[in-house]
Amino acid sequence: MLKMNNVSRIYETGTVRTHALRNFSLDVQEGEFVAVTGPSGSGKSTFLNIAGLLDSFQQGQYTLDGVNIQGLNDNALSSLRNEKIGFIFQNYNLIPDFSLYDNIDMPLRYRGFSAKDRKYRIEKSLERVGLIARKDYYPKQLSGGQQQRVAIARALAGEPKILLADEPTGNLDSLMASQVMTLLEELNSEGATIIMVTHDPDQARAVKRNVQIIDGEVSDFSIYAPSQNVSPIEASA
Amino acid sequence: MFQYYLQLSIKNLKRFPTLYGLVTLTLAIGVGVFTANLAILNTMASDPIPEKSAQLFHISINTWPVETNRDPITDILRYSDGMALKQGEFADSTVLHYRSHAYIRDAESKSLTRFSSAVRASSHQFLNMVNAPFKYGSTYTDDNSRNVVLGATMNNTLFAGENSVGKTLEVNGELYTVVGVLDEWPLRPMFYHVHEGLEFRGTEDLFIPIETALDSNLAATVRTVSTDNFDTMAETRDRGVYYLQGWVELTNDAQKQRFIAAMQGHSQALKDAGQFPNEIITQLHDVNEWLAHNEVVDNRVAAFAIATSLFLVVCIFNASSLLLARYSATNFDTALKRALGVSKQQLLMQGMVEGAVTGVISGLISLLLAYAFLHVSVMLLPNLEYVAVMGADMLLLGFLLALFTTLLSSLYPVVRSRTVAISTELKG
Ligand SMILES: Nc1ncnc2c1ncn2[C@@H]1O[C@H](COP(=O)(O)OP(=O)(O)OP(=O)(O)O)[C@@H](O)[C@H]1O
Ligand SMILES: [Mg+2]
Repeated sequence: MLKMNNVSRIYETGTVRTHALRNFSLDVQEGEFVAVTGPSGSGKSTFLNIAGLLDSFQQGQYTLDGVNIQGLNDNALSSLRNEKIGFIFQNYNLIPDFSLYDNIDMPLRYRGFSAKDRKYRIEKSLERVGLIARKDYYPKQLSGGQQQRVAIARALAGEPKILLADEPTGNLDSLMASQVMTLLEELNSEGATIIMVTHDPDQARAVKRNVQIIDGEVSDFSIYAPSQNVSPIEASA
Repeated sequence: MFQYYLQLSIKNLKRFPTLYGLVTLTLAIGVGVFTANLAILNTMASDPIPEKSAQLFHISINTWPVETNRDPITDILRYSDGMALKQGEFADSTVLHYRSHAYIRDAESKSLTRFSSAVRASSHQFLNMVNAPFKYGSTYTDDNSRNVVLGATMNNTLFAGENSVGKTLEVNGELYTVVGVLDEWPLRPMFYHVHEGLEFRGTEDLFIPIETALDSNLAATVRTVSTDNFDTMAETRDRGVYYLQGWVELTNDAQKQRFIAAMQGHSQALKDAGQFPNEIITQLHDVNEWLAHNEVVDNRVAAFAIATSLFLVVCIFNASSLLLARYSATNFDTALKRALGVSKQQLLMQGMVEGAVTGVISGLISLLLAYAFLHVSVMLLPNLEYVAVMGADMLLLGFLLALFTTLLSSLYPVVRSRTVAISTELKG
């Protein structure tokens, strides 16, 4: 599904070179739920941004759903992003002056779905996150947890191959966070492939596969003790 | 998709009402001033009779009978010179005409009100030569007849626009028969008489056969230069009075050469008879040459047009910097769209649709402003009254120009906004 091989990302700001990712390799299979953990500044978001085609990299190969993304132009990258990837951000990133319905509609519009098709997808995904009754609400009329569920609905509506979530519960209190986690776990058990960056050890522990990034490298060392019903931490080097 | 772009554009316009108000107004002012000026220039510089302008020639000839060092008078003719060229039949159609003035009324009307009218006395071939548009009837065919042709405006005044062919007119107390009525004839410039500011005054109210006009003593109300005294217009037939416009229709170069030869022959004959001691000058100017020769396009207006085009450029830069601010205010939206898979190309399309919507609005405002500017121009410079007109072509041009300049102003802001750093912007 997602395969990175020796990917390196170096940021150069002035005279400072930051190896945000170095020789990073990872292979994620369809249907997996991967929690990405690691200290602040270790390169988790960089990895997720590259995985989500929002950022470029200097070395290595990246294949998404069988497509080698090297050398693709902006149109090709954009439609890959639109069709195969569902993003969930820490701060939800809903458009404040769009209703929930219109927020979910936006990426579908650009993808060129028919009106009927869009309506079906929007309603189905809002139903899935339990917010269909509020489709005409505006983001600010919802709680943080509800907003994040709308963001998840937006990601789901395009029926992506993979969901990428960067600290999706980072802005939520524990009750709302656990609701969002439950939703993600359900989606995964329904077959969705999910990669989630998290700082919460409990969340990581609850997830089938953990990957740790330390200083831009995949580490097979885990700071979290594996619980008995979760498979040992895997990391492909 | 276009429909969605349109929806988003309207949403954005509502989201930044002040900014878009300023953008549309800035461009509308720039385009409005420019278009108004261009309309004036266009009227001045247009070919008034494109289908024939290369075949109609103004006759210039020097026949001044007294030795002189002053600039020769060549652009107005004596009756005797004009008639010599006309009656020699060197061309199919040679006409003489002059401008006059009369008070006229419908002879059968109960009202005794007489209307002040601009009159052109002309050889009978004149109206057909200059393609005057007839609404009713046709031209007079005899230079001595008492038949006349009415202009559209005067026909509206006297006969409420009805077909007045056959009606009797009283012109300065004498009776004439209407044989033709013209349609609206906004000839700008009025090429057949470009002196004394007449070129933009509009065509005459009444056309009358030249011999009859002379016999009826319809005075020339134009520049008249004479070497003899005269009391009546009839006396100008054989005296040294220069006041007639001479025009000739020549369809090919051979005809033109033959006519020039005739003019030179005439001058030489005068010289041989001892009646013309000066340098022989014979010239034919076709319509556009004649307009250029007389500087119908006012250089000040042309200079002002350059100034207004620079002003338009400044307006474009201003609008562009406003739009830069508008787009950097929505970097988040742009980044989010990019993250959700909207391509740069789609963003460009979206931006151009938004530019087009803005452009349509500023186009409409600019036309209103252009009208206002024309109005103000006329108030400040009354001479412009007949030049400051905006036809459908100028309206369309102004509208398209507003559209184009708005798109142009949007281009850089839109293109730049697309390079926003997605992840930085979304970190929030
Ligand atoms: N746009 C950028 N320009 C320069 N350096 C950057 C940029 N983005 C990230 N970095 C650097 O790359 C390294 C990895 O950053 P990244 O955001 O991936 O960390 P992270 O693991 O997501 O951290 P956190 O847990 O705090 O979100 C950091 O040292 C960061 O300073
Ligand atoms: Mg991060």
